[in-house]
Amino acid sequence: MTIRYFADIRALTGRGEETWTDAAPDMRTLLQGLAAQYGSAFGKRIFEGDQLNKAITIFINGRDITYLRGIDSPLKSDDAVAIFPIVGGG
Amino acid sequence: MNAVKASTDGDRYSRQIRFSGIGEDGQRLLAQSRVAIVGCGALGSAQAELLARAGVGFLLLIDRDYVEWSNLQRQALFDEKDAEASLPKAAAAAARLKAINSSIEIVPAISDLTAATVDDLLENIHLVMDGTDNFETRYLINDFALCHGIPWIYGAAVGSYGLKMPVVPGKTCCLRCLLPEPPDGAQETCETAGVLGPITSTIAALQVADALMILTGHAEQLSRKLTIVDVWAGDILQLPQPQPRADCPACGRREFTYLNGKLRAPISLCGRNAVQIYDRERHLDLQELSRRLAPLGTVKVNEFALRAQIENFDITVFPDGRAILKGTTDVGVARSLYAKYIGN
Repeated sequence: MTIRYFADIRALTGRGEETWTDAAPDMRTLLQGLAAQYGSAFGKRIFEGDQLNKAITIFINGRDITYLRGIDSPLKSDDAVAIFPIVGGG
Repeated sequence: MNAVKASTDGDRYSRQIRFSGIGEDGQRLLAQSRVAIVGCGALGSAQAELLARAGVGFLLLIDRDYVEWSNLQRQALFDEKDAEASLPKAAAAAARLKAINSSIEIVPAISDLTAATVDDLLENIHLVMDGTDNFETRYLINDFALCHGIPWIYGAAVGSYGLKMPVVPGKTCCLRCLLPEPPDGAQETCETAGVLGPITSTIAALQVADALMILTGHAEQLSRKLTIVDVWAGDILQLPQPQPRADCPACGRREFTYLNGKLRAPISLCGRNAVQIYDRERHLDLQELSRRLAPLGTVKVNEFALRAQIENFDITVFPDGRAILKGTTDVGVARSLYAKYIGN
């Protein structure tokens, strides 16, 4: 699956996009895998306890995961994931 | 100058009128439109200039802050004289816009948009532009817009990154469909992460394009997308705007928490030249906040509180989000500082 990162999340991963080949049947597993890869700073940014940080929005194939099953949304190997923060500056 | 003359004012709008999406009819509709721009910072000042040049007949500019030198890098309506004089942003912006387009009505409101002021300030407004720097005001705008059936255009930017999304009540999702609650923890702000002029100009321009479509009767053709831009990474992504949620506290259940002013009010601490801000309980990582604020002033932190001296203010922040801002008794100034340095 492809994953696109934006804003400070891009800085935490060091890349704007990647192809993820590790098995990830759902978003939680994917995010845990990414946290293991990119370290605690990434994990702290993405997670609030065992839930998704409220400031982080994730879309799968153009659909907001909060309209699916949230952090437990299922994933397929050809899905396109976008991870970005809703920011408040202006 | 009346609306008809404004809409056919010489050659001023000829190139816009020639655009097939606008035409003479669209130009007349713009002349009759009343738009509020909430916040005259980087987003708001760029929006205001584009809307004024486009001939929107009435612009209300709402901001209670004053022009500072650090604004000049990106806040396009202000110049060195404004910063030197510390002019109110709304007033300085209005003066500049009147020199750009004297045929429209431009009204500065040196004021906070709060639950107490929103009904008066936004009375008879057709569309609200988001030029704010904090979520609390955005949620208030969202509530007001939904309550009154008025469209508003969300926009935000920090660093090199920004987002834009139109909210058309009854047609699109609202801000709380996308973000039901304000984010917890300290947020990146322009003060802590910096901000580039190109991203604020880009997001503002996208917001104004949506506004022009709505004001000229093309709301049905509006591209219902959440637009994400990063000018430094060279990235643009457009995602379909989610559907309105039946369980959304704002547009679904119509619980207008922010409009009804149900948050805790700030408290001016009598005799201490300080204001306490404690809108809602939130969890702040004070160590992370101290790292963000360290480049801006003197910061000390322990498990109980963070204390920072920035500009001429003494800011004490507690892990539950409460903050005491010393150096002012003005609640609006305190709110601005909170939004600037802690983020909301």
